[in-house]
Amino acid sequence: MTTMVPSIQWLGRVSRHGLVVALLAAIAWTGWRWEGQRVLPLHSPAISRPVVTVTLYFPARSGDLLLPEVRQIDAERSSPGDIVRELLKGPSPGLPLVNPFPPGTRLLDWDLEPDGTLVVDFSREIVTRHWGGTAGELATVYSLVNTLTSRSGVRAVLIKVEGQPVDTLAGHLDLRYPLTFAAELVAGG
Amino acid sequence: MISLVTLLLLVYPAWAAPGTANPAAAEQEILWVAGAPLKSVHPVRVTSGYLLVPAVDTFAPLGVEVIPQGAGQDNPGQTARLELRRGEQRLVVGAGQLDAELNGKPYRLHVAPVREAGVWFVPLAGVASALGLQLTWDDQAGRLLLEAPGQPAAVQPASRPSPLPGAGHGGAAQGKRSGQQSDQAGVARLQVLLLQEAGLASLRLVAPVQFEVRVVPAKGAGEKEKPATTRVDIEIEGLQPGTKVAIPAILPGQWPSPFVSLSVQTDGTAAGTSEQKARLGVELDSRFRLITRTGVAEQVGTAEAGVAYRVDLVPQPVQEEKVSLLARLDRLVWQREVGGSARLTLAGSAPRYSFRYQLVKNPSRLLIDLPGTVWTGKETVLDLADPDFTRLTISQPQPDQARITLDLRHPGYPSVRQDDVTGDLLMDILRVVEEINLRTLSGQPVEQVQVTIQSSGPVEARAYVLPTPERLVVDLSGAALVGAGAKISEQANSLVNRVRVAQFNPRTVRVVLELARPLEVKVNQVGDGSRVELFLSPSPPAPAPGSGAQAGGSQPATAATTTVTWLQRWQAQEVQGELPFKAVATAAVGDSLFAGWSETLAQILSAVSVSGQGGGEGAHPGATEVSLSKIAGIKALAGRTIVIDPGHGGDDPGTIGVNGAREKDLALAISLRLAAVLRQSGARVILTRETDVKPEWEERTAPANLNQADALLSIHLNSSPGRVPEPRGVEVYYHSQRPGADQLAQAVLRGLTTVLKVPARRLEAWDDLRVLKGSTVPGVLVEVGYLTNPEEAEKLVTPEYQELIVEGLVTGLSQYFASRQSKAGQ
Repeated sequence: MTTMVPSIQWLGRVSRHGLVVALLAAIAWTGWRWEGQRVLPLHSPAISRPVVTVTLYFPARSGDLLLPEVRQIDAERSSPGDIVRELLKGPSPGLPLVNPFPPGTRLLDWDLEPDGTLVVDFSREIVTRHWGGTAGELATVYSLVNTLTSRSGVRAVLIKVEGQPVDTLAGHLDLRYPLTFAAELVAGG
Repeated sequence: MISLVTLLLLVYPAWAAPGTANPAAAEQEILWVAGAPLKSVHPVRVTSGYLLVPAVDTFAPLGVEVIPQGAGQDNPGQTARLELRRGEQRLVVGAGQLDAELNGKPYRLHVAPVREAGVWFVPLAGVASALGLQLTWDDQAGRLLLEAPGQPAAVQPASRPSPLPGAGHGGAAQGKRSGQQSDQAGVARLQVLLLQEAGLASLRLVAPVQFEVRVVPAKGAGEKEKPATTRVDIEIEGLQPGTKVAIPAILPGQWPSPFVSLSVQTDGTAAGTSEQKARLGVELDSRFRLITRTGVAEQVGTAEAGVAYRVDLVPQPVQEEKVSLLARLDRLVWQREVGGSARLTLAGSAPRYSFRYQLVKNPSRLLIDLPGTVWTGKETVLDLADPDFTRLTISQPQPDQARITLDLRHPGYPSVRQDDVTGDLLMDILRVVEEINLRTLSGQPVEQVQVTIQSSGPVEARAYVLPTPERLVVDLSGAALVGAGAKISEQANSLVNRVRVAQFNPRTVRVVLELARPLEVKVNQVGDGSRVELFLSPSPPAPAPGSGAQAGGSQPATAATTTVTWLQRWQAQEVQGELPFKAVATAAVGDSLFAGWSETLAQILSAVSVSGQGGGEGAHPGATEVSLSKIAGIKALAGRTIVIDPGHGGDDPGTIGVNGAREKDLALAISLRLAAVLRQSGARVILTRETDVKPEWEERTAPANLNQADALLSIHLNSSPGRVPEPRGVEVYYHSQRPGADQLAQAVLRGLTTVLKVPARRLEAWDDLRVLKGSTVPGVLVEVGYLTNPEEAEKLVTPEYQELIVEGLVTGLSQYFASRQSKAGQ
């Protein structure tokens, strides 16, 4: 019925003997990095215009989950379309997140229907330059869907490409119907 | 960009030596020989960063003859020697000597063998590679695996191809190797793979070697363009005979060997064009220098697969300066990611700091020691508004060691790991799930059961229902089972058939209640979040129009389903927006380097979650045929109708691998092999495509629906660019509303991960997947591997690995059908 987890016991032993280092300790690393020090996600205090805080979901750099990035944007430019454009910029540098949108992807149009379905229309790059894979497709689609449906007033998201309905982005996920927030993909959700 | 780096601070703590109380048990868990943990009363030891293992206990299980040649008789006055024989390979080593002999030729070891009280300890990596044994690092399990590749060497020709995964598919450089060198190159290649496996961000090669780097262009070979990420593939050639390559990735302590670190990056601004400018950075240990002075590798040619670069290295006289440079630590930044780990950024003269940690009790504190590090500020105490920790103290208890002390808010098991890229320390406190208690509530009009799950501290709880059979799942994240697991006390009742609890992943404990019928579930988690209470009562029947609940009670409750309602829910403090848990301690800034790398509790824990799976034993990467007889339950396949849907096809290539392989081609190849094996087992197989065409969606699902197939398998290959470390392993998706699909998915996932020995990345009901949505039979979409992972992509194109995938799929299908048969028979 119950499951043994012997290695935790073992870890206790290891800690006592200090052996954890024998197993786990450092090897040399020459430490050359492309961009020098990491930028921490601080908000700029210098914004004088009214701002709103938006939550953008991006795929975590390790693992399969989406993590929220909280960003402040100009309150006058915080429509669903502006949020999509904010998403398309990718995560802020220094955060352990990746950009799930294929390069060159642009938002062409958007429309919020009375029933709360947000229709977003993208340029063809979102399909032609998509890298594929079920994991890859889920990351792209649900970065968008989870970000937008966590806004009040947006219940579901329907993705179009060049003004036309699409079957899938990369051959897996059915995009013929509006999609709603996927809690399974959110850390801690 | 290039800097010469001096590595130093050889810290060999005393505990690495034998004699301390039973260090062997823990240390030997890491080494698995021929599929089982090393069995030896002699502890593995670490010398100069190399692993020394007891020769007989380690190598004899792999068929190696270990023959001591005494010092006294045949060669009086000589040092003691040990002969190790495997097939035609004959290695003779001497105690205390780096020079050995391999097949009569000189062979140099990185560290000398030791003979103590008649027991020989020999360097693991050096001896394994000399004898042609396969040494791999299992990142998922945190194990080093020593195995005999394929068949015993005695029946193999001496110049057989390298047994290493992926070797032999290297590209242009391949043809230039002589037979004898190919094993050596394979060994060097192994090291690169291992380092990638270990999740290190850059690649390292042991010099002196000449090596070529093939940069796969960011643009894929097919119709689809790849994002501007770059893969690096390393080909090593021209290894001098006798050059030895050791395996540093998993060894503790300072790596004493010279190595180069090499990085390649495409120019991001050129993304999407074919003119990708590659910059090649090479970092050297001070004992080596580059022949090219520019610091940029010389381009030696272009091939279909990419641009080849060459970097020549020569040894430089070592200046053994006994300068002890300590890394300076100037600044600490504490952050808590939403729903994630606590993150401690260490800023100072080193890009990464090595660390070790321990838990002390009363009060519970996590001590993180940073050897070789000087905190440049005063002893500082920071109060933290963190769900797990109350206070951080940074101090300098020893001149060469800084210490970070974290006071725990609640007792728990700490896990500290290091971010692969940034070097930040990531900390989790796992709660212990202690007790699960089921009791019936008396004095209620209907039977009610209360389930209490008690943990040692707050846990994030999720509760949801899985159908067929109806199960209530409670996932407790940030939790672990320890010792004999949680204590389950169960009072007989008619609502819950069975309670199971297991460590689902390193951070999550899963409690599963198998329900006897649809229930109404109310969940309560209050106070400090350490206790989750579930109140179970039978689902009210479907409301009968115009009548009271009592009157409806006699009707069959066909519409009843299990519902989960939260009464109250404890939540961790929110951390969005203002980053309230941020705390900074600052001193000064500097520029020297210290290096380090540490392992994680999470990885050790994950070894538990992947172990103990049966079936598929004895599969070797070298096997080329699927041996049907050894697959359990294979007979259950006879007479089944199975539809196989090779993903993509025609003008849709699917994902393009880093090696240029196209998903549509591999999916078809695997599907055709699978079809052949299933037919051989008596199954009726229908393929949705047998050539390079793209079926309509209906054509993918109709064959299963029309033939009322017993199973549908849609075969795909995965992609997830830009991740660190590159994901690898298997994902299986199913439709939550197709009875049996969840069991099929579990069986297929287990079959594949057992045979392929890869991580199970995801098992998920995903009803919006087009092929599963359109079919009415139990179906799964299987992602058999990642084409974005260079190592996995190389394996996926080989017939041998495809056969293993087929074996995994057949194993899963067999077990699924066998379990259905046995259920039907009951």
